[in-house]
Amino acid sequence: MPLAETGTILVDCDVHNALPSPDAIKPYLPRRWQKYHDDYGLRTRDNMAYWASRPRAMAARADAHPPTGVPPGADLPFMRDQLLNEWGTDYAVLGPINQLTFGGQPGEYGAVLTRALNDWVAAEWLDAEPRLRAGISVPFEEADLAAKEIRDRATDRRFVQVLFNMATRDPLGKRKYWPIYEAACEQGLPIAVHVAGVLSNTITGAGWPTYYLEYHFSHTQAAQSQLLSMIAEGVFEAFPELQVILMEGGFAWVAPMSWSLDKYWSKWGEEVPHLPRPPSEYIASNFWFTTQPMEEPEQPTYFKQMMSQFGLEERLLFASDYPHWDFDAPDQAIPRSVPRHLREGIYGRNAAQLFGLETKGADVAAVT
Amino acid sequence: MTAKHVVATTDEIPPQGRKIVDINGRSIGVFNVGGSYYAIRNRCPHQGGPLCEGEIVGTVRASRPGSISYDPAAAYLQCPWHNWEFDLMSGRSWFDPKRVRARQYRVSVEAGGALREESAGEGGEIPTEGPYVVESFPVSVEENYVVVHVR
Amino acid sequence: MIAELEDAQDLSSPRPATAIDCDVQLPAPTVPALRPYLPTYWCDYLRSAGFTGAHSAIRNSYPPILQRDAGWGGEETADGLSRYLGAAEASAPAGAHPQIFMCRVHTGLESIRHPDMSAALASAVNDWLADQVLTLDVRARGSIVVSPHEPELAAREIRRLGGNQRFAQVVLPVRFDQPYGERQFFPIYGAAAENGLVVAIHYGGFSVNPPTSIGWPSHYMEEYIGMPHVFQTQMASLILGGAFQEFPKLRIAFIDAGFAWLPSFMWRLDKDWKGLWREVPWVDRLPSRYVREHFRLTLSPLDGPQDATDMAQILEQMGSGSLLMYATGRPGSWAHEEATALLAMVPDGLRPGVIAGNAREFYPRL
Repeated sequence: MPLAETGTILVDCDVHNALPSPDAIKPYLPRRWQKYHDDYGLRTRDNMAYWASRPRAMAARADAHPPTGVPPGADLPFMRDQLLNEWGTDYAVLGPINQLTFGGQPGEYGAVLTRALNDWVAAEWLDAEPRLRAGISVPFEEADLAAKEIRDRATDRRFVQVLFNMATRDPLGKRKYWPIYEAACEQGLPIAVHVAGVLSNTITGAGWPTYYLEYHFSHTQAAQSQLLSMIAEGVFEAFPELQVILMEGGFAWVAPMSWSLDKYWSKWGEEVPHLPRPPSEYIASNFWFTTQPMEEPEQPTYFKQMMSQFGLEERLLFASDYPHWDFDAPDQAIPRSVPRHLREGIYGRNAAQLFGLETKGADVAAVT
Repeated sequence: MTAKHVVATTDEIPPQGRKIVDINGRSIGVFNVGGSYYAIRNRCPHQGGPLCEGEIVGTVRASRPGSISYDPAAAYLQCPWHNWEFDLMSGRSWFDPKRVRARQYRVSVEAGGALREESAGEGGEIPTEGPYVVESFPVSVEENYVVVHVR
Repeated sequence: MIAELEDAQDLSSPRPATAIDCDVQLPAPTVPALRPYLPTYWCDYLRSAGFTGAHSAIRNSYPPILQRDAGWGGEETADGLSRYLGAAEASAPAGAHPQIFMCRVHTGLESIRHPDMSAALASAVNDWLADQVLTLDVRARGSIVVSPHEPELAAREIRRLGGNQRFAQVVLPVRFDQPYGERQFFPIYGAAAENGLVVAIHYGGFSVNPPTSIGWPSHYMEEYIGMPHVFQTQMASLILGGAFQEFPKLRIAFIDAGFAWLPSFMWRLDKDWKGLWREVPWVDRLPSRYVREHFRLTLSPLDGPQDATDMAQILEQMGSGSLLMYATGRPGSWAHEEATALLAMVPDGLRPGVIAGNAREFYPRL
């Protein structure tokens, strides 16, 4: 049912559309690459087993299968019904699920593939539904090619962010990724880092998880590692305007991590002389967090305590993660203990500001 | 005050079967478990998902890792969203039966003849299912009916 | 300063210690020092191979400034070791005597993959500890080192030493090649649990994997602040793997893992488990219950709130006042400073537990 609070803009910052079939990308590929795609094509090599142990077509809600028989997220009319109209969504930001397998593909093939994905998103989603926005899928392991796609694509301002997978081959603070940040800043676009992905590293710092439950739980550690890296490497000294959205990584860990960061820096900060200020400050100035999966302590008091320690409600962005099974329903996900004005921010005002979305006819300036 | 709602003939919901109906604007799932009928609100207490559309699974126990014993007889309903499991017969969640449960309704099986007499006695029509279904539920004396009791 | 054996606590009916230091760190003995405890073959082999000890790998991975602070580089003579224990004694919370010190040797053993060499070295270090350290001070307790590469050999070593009541725990590094909840490691837990030995998982270690899921971090700062993620991985793995169903008496101490992350860990794992438990049906109760029953964590400089209000909230969110144990990390100085600062923030009613009571209750041999 639509969000109960009238006058609240609803921006869903993490919605996964999907190619209806593997072949659906081919019309968007240059001809010579179509043959390559057919003959040598998309290889993923490693951790797809986790998706296989919890099928449901890439971890979808059981009721999200469109009657047309295409995968969850692949049918726009069905998505309109089940998500956009159901909740009265004003804007939804698409992250095509196929970026999880496309984004890490190597070399020119990766560039061609992600470009095709963006072309498909524009033609079959953004053109067809005015409430939709999208992330630019990029071959993030190939920085120069990714930067080119950002610069080429940014003229279409319906693309509101640059989409990375959380599973990268190196920590995101490393200089090899900096050309991508440069291009993103130049174009006024935030970076969105979404959990999972293939072609990267062992999924935890202590080896491969045994169970899907263990794997699903590990997303939050990955998000924390990326935040640590970007801060420690001085990304935000080099690019003070860069905004980074961590998606599906949770946020209850932010306050304890802030304490650790500042404690280490105050004692051993000479290791990182390029960080002139307490590193936790970068969290408040450069990071955003999507809310799904929402933190659910048993005691409502603990949620309030955690939010108070976290203190960054204006940097929370509501997300449903439709069509995945750990979906957050818009009218249920955010506890009533969050004061109304903060809740409205989380539901959409924060995102409208970040992405420069029109709200009730008045343009809101983008943060970057 | 609780009203009786006739939702199906017993044949319509065989063992392992289910029917989801609207009663007074509430979506309710009616299940046949081993010949007995149970009704649960089609709304998960977690985030409101369509609980009654979920998979039905049996009872699993494992005293140690790798030592799994399974009784496949239908016992738990899994919400299609976050997969929370609810005992079909009581509506109680598996993981916290005392504090988390799905709303359950009483179900009875009543003969058509008795229902017609009752209705005639009250001078009204036999209660129908759902706010949007206009036709009354035809009740014949030869059949038995699944009746959900809803306030 | 060092208790004479004649004044020893009667181990059969000990006076309860009023402070238990759960982590006093000793340097690894040199190969010559281990010679009396090694089989002749290994004595000769290691001499001819020029082997100087696996712990050099440790030296190479920590920033020198932290090693200096940690007081590494001392000799493992009786005098040197006495100095470590003396430093630990002097670090007791004010007014807390007598004490127990849990001694742990930095060996880097898991970096040796030769199964027989690592087993021989493990036994030698353990015998050296029993003979050279635990005899110095009756308040000292020992940690059994084993190689996680060879769980069966590790179990055998644990059983060999199980009769020596001065050993209170078995140590494993938190970083390893596979998560510790895998069934291949069960022989270690079985041997430890049946002997009343806690399994202590400590900061660091050497592994084929980087200490993250996203590659090798550049700075020690990232590795250090990120080590809790590895502890979280291991905690989840042990619970979901069913180690506590298999071994109900198994107890795990996390040494130098931090603790402020624990509430957010429990909330997330509990939430995921509610929908996904059927994959691991032996986990038949909330994962956080296993945390409270089977895990303890030491006070550590790694994290911690900045004031008493936050501390009180974190402890409340942990759901038990019994989860924290005092540890100085002596002979290092920073760890001790931080432990003192954190201890001051602990609510009065919980402080005696942190200083001694929790460890005394948790370690069957204390």
